[in-house]
Amino acid sequence: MKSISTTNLFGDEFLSAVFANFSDRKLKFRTTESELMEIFHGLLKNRAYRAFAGQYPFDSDGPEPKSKALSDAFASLQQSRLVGRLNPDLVVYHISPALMVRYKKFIEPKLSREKNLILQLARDVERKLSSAQ
Amino acid sequence: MTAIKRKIERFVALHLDGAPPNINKSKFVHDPLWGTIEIYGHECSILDTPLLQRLRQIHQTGFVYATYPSATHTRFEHTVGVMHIAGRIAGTLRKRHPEDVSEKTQQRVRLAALLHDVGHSAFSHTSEELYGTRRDLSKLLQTGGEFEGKGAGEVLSYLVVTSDAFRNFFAQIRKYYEIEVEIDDFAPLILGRADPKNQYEADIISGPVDADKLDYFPRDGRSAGIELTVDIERLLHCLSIESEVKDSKQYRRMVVRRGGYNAIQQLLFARATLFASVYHHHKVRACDCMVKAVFEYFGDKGLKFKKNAVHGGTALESAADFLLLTDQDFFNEAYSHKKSDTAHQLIHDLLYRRLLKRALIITRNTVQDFNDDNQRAGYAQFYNLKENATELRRLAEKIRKRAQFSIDKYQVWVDIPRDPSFKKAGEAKVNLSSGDGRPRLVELEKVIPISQWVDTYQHFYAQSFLFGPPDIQIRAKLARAAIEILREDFGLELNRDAIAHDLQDRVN
Repeated sequence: MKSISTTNLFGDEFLSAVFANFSDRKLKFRTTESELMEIFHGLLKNRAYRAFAGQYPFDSDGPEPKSKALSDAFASLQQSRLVGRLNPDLVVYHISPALMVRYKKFIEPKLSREKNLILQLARDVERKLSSAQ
Repeated sequence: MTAIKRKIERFVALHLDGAPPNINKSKFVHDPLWGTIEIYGHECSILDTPLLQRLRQIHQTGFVYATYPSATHTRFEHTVGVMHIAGRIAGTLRKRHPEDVSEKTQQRVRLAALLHDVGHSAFSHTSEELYGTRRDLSKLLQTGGEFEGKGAGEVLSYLVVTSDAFRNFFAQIRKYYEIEVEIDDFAPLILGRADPKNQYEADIISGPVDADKLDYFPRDGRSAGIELTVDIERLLHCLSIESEVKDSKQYRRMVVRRGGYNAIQQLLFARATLFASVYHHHKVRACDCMVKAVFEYFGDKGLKFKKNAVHGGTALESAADFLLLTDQDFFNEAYSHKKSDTAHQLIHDLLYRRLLKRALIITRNTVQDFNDDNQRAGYAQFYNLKENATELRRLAEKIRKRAQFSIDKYQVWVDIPRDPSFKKAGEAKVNLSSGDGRPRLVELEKVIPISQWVDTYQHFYAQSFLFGPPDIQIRAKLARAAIEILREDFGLELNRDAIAHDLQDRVN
């Protein structure tokens, strides 16, 4: 699949946009980085999300797909504490209200036509994430 | 053949000299980390080529030696060390799984390890950041490219090893030493690519607990004088091969048994310690910015690096052009320019450690109120600039102009360090089998959230910097300008701790 991202987003902005469009019931979720890799790898191969395929180049050799870009983006959001981990085991992630602030202030103004598609992708990612319960 | 591959062909041909390989018997070398290492005849013949010898002129940890004086080790000894440890891993696995691992496996992984860094250029990862963004290589790495998602350095190494020039050279080696291994048997391992039934070979060379990490963590720590404990012997004894079925393919993978957990935890802490205190030390980062300044200056002025002047020098437009540069070539370039030239001065500032200094330190702790959502949002937006070198330079330029001091742009840098590695030890597969003979493979991070703890610890250490020239007045002006701009553009309010100590009484 040859496709370059058509968005103006770079770095962790795309992942922020996806998380910011989660519904209220998914503001906490249990995952691991490798699960996120699987989810995004699976979804971005879908023709419907072709426009976003360039966001995360995936190394597909071996049993698990890996994307340094996605790994870096997820780490950045945690470094900035827009996505946090909950005690005691730090295995449940939560989306901070600060992520919504950032999305509204800095990211949403960069989006145009792809806004609805990001919302749709967010719903798909949400559906695939394990439950935090 | 694409342009980048043509350039690599020329580079390899130049560094193999067209001469027949040196013929060697096995040799023993002494290594401060691993003790006595045996190098087989065919490996010596490869090591003897200028292609590998040039790695002696590339420091393993870039400019870490500018802060940790003894960290002067090079890619060469690391290469020999990785080859040794890859062979030992294969040897351990062979004892346990003779049905999977043969002598040829050991030969393959040792050759892949020997050549895994052959594509490195001056100052290792510093130049990797630059050549990885050159158009010809980035096209290959992006979605849909021939090497989608791979690392820039490993792709260059792979292209060197699979070049026609190297293939011809290796054919002579094979013939003389009567070895059966072919280039296509081991070169893909450099990319982490293997047949599913031999996935463990790729895991040895490019996996969460690979030979590279097992060598560079202790080697870098030891050379820098940082005490690290990684029980590699224990880890080696706890490696095995198990099957994992994924998408109806059966992968034979290298996994870690329960007894190796502790060693992996040590590896994770070693990594965190090295990043926090060594690789991301502010002086090391200042040097990295100064190297980038030299490349930026050459680009702006259309200058060529004169190395291999017989070929007219190189403007470093292609990622492959960087292969022509070692640390020494970079420093020697100063003498191609008059003493009064900026090029000469920029290079000599690095050579003689006249370094840029911090004006601002931007961390989660130097933001006025990091619990405030607006502040965190602004910080995240700023921190994300590390992914866009052009935007980062634009910010530095805006700060320089606002400061209204007549300094050139090559002396003002906003630096947000990136983490170069992504195959994390926490992703290692561990075998939770209860002894019934049936493997139960799980990622380590799902068993013990150790990698999450270490990541969280590491996040507290992440620092970004504004660097400027040593002059206190100039840096104070830069700091003031930056504080204003970060407030305007990102809504960031910084506290007093953000200002470099020597400027504190000069910046209101």
